[in-house]
Amino acid sequence: MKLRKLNRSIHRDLGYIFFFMTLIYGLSGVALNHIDDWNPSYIIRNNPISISEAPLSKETLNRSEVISLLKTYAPQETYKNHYFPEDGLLKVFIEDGNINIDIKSGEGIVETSKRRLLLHPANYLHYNPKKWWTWVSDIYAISLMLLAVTGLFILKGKNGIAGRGAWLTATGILIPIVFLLLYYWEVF
Amino acid sequence: MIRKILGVAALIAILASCGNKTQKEETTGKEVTKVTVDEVLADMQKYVDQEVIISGIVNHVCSHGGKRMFIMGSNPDAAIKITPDDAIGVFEKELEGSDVLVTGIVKELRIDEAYVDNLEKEVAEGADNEAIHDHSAGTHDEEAENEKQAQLDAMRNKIAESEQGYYSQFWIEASEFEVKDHDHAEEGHEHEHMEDEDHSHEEGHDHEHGEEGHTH
Repeated sequence: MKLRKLNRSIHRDLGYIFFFMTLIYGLSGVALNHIDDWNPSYIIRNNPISISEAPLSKETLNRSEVISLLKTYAPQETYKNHYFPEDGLLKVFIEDGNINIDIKSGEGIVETSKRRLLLHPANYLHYNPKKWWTWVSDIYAISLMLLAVTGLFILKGKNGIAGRGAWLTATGILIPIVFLLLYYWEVF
Repeated sequence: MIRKILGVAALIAILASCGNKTQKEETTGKEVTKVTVDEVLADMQKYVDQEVIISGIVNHVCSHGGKRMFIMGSNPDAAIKITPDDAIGVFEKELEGSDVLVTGIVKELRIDEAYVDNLEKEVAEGADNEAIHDHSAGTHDEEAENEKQAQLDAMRNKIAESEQGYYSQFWIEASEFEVKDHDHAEEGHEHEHMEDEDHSHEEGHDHEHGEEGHTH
């Protein structure tokens, strides 16, 4: 009886403590699962730009000239640096992105990136940025296992682990095992 | 009570998003060599396992995870890969275009046939690897797989061409970094490279930093 009460207390308190971390890892987990389809941390915007003075001469495109072009064609952007990654291509670094300009045609793209409000910090933490956070996330991972185990024994009776809970738990165990076998047998 | 909890949660989120433009304050007391990107690129083997201080313009930060950035010297054809140590954690994308001062240890990875064979197995199992890391996020699986296979083939060719049966990849594992004070556009100052070297990036070389970092 005492053991069950202790089990409930552990489950309840760990649930409270790690409520927010579960949201962080859950949210960023979904976002990072689809990393091939989008940038989960930044909103990337591409806008065309056209320099009417083109063709431009690489020799005359010094820092002040590039700043001058920026003021004319992208006045909202702040210059950081520039260089020529390849012949005929000017890359200008701006405060929140970069601009690639074909100096012959004058056509270019302004690429700006802005941190996603919730996902950037969530993904930042998910990537285990620093060693202290690694310790915190280790504690969280262990606590998740405790939460899972203690969760099995919260209820007694027909909905507990001896009844309906057993079937649901078995289903949950089978799902990853089935996938694992399918992958090992290279079914897909 | 709820307000307090939400306040603390918001503070944690803000702190996490603040990035890492600070420098580690510890000093190791070890001898550190101050070098330019060009000097290191000219002979990276010479600096292996040495702690160096290097500055350059960040021309790329891996936006997925920020575990790598590349800094270039006077010739944008080549750039040095910088990885963060545990204390730095990650590099933020906002560093692109910034002039940074990096302190770190030059690392070498020797790639031979056995290494590539092992790597091929890892790639087949879907693991990412530093030596073959690419920026293929956003492409379809098949395309990414073909790209990785092409990289493996290129690595084998490179080994076959080498006299010693291996080739090396070099990078710097940063223990400290800081963003140099940035000249504001309005001031119109010319960019000054470390040690007053002229470094205007206007030489017009083709630039490919390569996904593998600098290789010899």
